Amino acid sequence: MTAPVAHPPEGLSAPDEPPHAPPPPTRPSMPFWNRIRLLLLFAVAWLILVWAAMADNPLLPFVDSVRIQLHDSQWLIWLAGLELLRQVHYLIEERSPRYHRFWSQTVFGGVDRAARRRMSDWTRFRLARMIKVVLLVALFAVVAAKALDTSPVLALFQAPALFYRALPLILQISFGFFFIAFQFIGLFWLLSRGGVDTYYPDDIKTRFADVWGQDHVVERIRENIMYLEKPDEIEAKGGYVPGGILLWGPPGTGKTLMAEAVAGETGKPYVFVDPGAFINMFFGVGILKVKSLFRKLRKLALRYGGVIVFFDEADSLGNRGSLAQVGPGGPTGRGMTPFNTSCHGAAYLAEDTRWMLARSAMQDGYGDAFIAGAGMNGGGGGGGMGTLQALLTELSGLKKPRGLVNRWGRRALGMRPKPPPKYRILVMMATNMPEALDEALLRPGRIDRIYKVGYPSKAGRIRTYEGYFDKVPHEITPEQLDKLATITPYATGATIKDLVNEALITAIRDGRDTITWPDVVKAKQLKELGPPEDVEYIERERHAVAVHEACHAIVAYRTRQHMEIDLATIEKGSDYLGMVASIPPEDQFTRWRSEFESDILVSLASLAGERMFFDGDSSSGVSGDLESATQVASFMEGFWGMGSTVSSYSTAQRLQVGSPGGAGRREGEKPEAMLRRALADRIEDKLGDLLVRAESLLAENRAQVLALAHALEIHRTLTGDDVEAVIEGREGETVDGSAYRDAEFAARLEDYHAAAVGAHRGHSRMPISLPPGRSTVDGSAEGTAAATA
Amino acid sequence: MRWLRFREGPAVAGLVLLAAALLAGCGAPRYTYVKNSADHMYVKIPASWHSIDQKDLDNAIGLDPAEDASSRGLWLQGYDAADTPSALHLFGSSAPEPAVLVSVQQVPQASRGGLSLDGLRDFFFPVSPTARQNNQNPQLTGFGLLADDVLTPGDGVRGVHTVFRYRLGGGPPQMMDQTGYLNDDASKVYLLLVRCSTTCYKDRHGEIENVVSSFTIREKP
Repeated sequence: MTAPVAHPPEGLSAPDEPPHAPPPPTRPSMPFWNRIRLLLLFAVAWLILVWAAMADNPLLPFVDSVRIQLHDSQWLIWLAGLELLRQVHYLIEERSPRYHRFWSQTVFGGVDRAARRRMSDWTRFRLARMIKVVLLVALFAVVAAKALDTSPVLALFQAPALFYRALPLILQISFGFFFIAFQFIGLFWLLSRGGVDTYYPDDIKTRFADVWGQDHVVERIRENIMYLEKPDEIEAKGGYVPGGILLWGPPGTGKTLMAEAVAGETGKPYVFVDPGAFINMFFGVGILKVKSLFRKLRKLALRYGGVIVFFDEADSLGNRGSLAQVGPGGPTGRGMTPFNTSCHGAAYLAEDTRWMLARSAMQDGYGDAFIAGAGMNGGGGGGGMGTLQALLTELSGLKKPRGLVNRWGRRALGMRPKPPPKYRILVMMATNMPEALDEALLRPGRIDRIYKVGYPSKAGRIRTYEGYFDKVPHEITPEQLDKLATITPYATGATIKDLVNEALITAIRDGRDTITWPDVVKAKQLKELGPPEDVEYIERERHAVAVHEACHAIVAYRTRQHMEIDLATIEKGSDYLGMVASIPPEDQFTRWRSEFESDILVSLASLAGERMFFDGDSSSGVSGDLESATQVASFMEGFWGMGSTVSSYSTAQRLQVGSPGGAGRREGEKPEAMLRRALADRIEDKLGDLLVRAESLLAENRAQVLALAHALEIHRTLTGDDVEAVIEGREGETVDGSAYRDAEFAARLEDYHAAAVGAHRGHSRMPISLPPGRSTVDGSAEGTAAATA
Repeated sequence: MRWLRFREGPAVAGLVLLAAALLAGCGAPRYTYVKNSADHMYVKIPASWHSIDQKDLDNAIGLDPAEDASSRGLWLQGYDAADTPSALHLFGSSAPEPAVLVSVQQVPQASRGGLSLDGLRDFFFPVSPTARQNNQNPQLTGFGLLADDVLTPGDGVRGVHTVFRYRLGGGPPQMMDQTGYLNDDASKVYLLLVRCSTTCYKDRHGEIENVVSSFTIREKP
C-alpha cells in the first residue's frame, strides 16, 4: 500500500500570494458536472428554441420543429460540437501528460504567462467571471430574440416587459407566502421598537462637575470622551479609540449619574438602552433589536463622527454560563476581584495564573448573595435567546462593506469593495454585578476599560456631603462635616443624599428650619440601626445585655486600633438586642493579621464576658458573634495564610488536593495533637486561644466593663466619644466618666452586679436598684433610669 | 465506472434523450409551415411544394414594388407543386399541378361595414349568384359550384369555404378551393386559394385537402 499522495488544494491562492505548488503533470480531473454543463446549457437553449417555434405555430409538431430548428438554429449545434471537442481535448489532457504539456506550455504557455504577469489570480478570476456573465447574457439574448422574433438587443429589452407581463401571476403565487410572512415581519418590526432613547448634545444638563467623590473614574471617562471627540489624536499615532467602558461597583455610587454626565458633556449623540430592552417575548426579537440598535448607532456614528451608547444594568444582558468549573471553596477574600486593590495587584503573577484567579474571583468574589442567583443567570437568563451573542457579534464582528453599489457594483466590475468606514462607537455599560456579565463581553476590543466605581473616598464623601448640605439650610461646621464623613465610611452618593434628607426631616419634625449636628447624628442612627423598637428590658436582662455590649466595647477599645467605636447601644432593634458599632477612622485598603485577631477578640468578648460575669452561664445572644469570629478565623487559617499553614484552602479544595495538616511532627508531639491538624480543628484551636486572651483582657478591665454597662443602662445609647470617656474616666460629650473613677461607686456597681447575677439565677426581681449616674448634659437620663429602676 | 456516479444519472439520461431527439430529427420536415405570426395565420404545405418568388407574385398581381407588405396592408405568399414554381400557375389559364395563394389583407376602416360572406366568396372570382349575374368578364366561363360551407371557428371569426370550377380564358376547367376568413372586427381578411386542373384536383385531392384543412386563424394568441 502506498501512502496517499497529498493533492495540493484546488482553487485560487489567497490574494497577493504566489501559486502554492508546481503545476501537475496532467490536467486535474474535472467533475462530471463541469464536463457537461455547457453542453447542457446549449441543449437547453436549443430546446427552448424548439419549444418557442412550437408555441408560435399551432400546426407545428415536435418532430418537425426539431427538424426545422436543426436547420435554423444550427449555430447552437455547432457551438455544442465545439464544446464537445473541447471536453474531449480536456479528457485527453487529463490522461496524457505529453499532450497536456504540449497544449499548456507550448501552445498556451506564453499567453498564460503574459496574463499572469499582467493580472493577479483574483483579477483573472473576476475577469473570467465577468466574461462568462456577458456570454450568458448574450446567449440568452440570442435565444430570446429567436423566440420573440426580434433582434437580440431588442429581446434583451423585451425581457423585462415579459417579466412584467408575468408579474401578476408571480404575485399571485407569492401572495400566499407573503401574506403570512408579512404578518410576522410586521409584528417583529413593531416588537423590535422601543427601549432605546437617543439624546443629542445639550439635551441633558448633568455635567461631570455634578459627579462628586469619583474623580479618578471621571478623569478616565473624560479621557475616553476626549478620544471620541478628537479621534485623530490617537489614530494618527496608530492607535484606536477605546471602544468600551464598563462601570461597576456597589449600587448608588453614581454609575448612572456618570453616564448622564457623559451625555451632558459630549458633543456626540448619546443612546441610552433600557435594561429591559432585550427582554423579548418571541425568539429572535432581541436579536432584531440588537441589530437595529447597531444599525442606528452606525448611522449616527457616521453622521456625527461618533456615538456613545450606554447600557444601564448591563447584567440584564445575561451570560452564557461559565467555562471553568468553580469548586465549592468559599470566596477568596471578600471583594478580591481582579479589579480591586486588595493586595498589591496580581502583577507579579503569570498571565495564566492571573486569569484563573480573576475567573474564580469573578465567580465567587463579590458576595454570597449573588452566587445563589448565578445558576439562574448562567445559561442565558436576562436577554438570552441569542441576544447576547448578537450583541457580541455587533460589538466586534465582521464589518460588512457598505452600500449596494459598493458591495455589488464594484464586485461586478472586478474591483474589491471599499473597506467599511470607521464607526466610532463608545459602548458604556454599568452594572453592580460584573460577574453576571459574559466573559466574552469584557474582553478588550469589546469592553476595553473596566472601572470600578467604588465607595467614595473620604475626600469624595466630604465633597458629596458639602454638595448636598449646600442645597439645604444647615449649621454644620467643616469639622463636623469631616467627622461625619469619617463615621460614614461606606456612604455613597445615594445614601448621603438620603442622610441629609433624613436630617432635614428630623429638623422639620422638631419645628426647626436648619439642620444641626444632633439632627445629623439622629438621622444617621435611624438610617443605620432602623427605628428602635421601644421595648423595655426587665432589669436583670437589661444588665445582661449591657454587660454583653460593654465587653465588646472594652475589648474593642483595648485591642482594636484600626477601628473606632462609633456607638454602643442596648436599645433593642428589629434584629439585635444591642450593639457596638465600629468604623474605620481612615480609608484603609489592606487588612492585617493583628487586625483580624483583634476583630475575633472583640467578637469573642461577649462569650468570654458572659461566662465570666455570670459564673459560667452564657446566653444565645452570642451566636452572631461566634459566627463572625468563626468566619474570620476560617479565612485566616484557610485563605489568608494567617494560621499555621500557608496554602489556600479554596484552591486546594478546587483542585482536590486536600488541605495540609500544619507543620510536620514536632519532637515529642503526642499523637492526639497531631490528629488535631485538620482545618476545622485548627480553627477551633485558634478561637480557643483567642477566647482565653479575651477572658484575661476582660478580667483585667472588670471595673471598666461594669462602669460601661452602667452607663449603657442609664443612657441606652452612647456615642464613641462617650464610651471612651467612661472607660478613661473623663468627661465626654454627654456622659461624665470621671464618676466611675470613684472606688466607692465602683463597689456599688459590683454590688449591683452581684444582685443582678443573683436575680438571674433565681429568675427573681432585683433586690437593689441601679445606682444613679452623672451626665454632663442634664439629669434627665438619671431621672428616667431611676424611675424605671 | 468512477466517472459515472448515481447522481449523474438524470443528466446522462437527459443527454441520451436529446441525442435520440436529434437522431429522430434526421431528415427534412415533411411540411413547410407557413405562418404570419403578427396576424396569427398558419397553414402547412407539403415540403415538396416550392415557394413562388415574391417579386414574381407581386408583379403578377400588379403591386407596387416600392411598397412592402406592411405599408400596402397586404401579406401574401404563393406555393407551387410544379417543379418550376411560377405565379402564372396561380393566375394563368391552366395549372396542371396544385398552386397555393395565401394572403392576409388589412381592411381599411371605411370599407369594413360592407364586407360580407359573399364578399369573401367573390374575392378572386365571382361565386355568389349576384356576382355571377353581374359578371362582365368573358374570360370566365363554365362555372360550377361544388361546395359552399360557412365556417365559424370561434372568437368572432367567420368564414366561408367554397369549391368551384371555372374555365379561364378558354383553358381547361380549373378547380378552385377557396377559404376566406374575416376576423371579429372585420379588420383583416384571410384567404387561402388552392387551384389546379380538375384532373389534378381529383388525383391529388388528399394533399389539397390536407393543406386546406390546416389553414388556421387565431384571433387570440
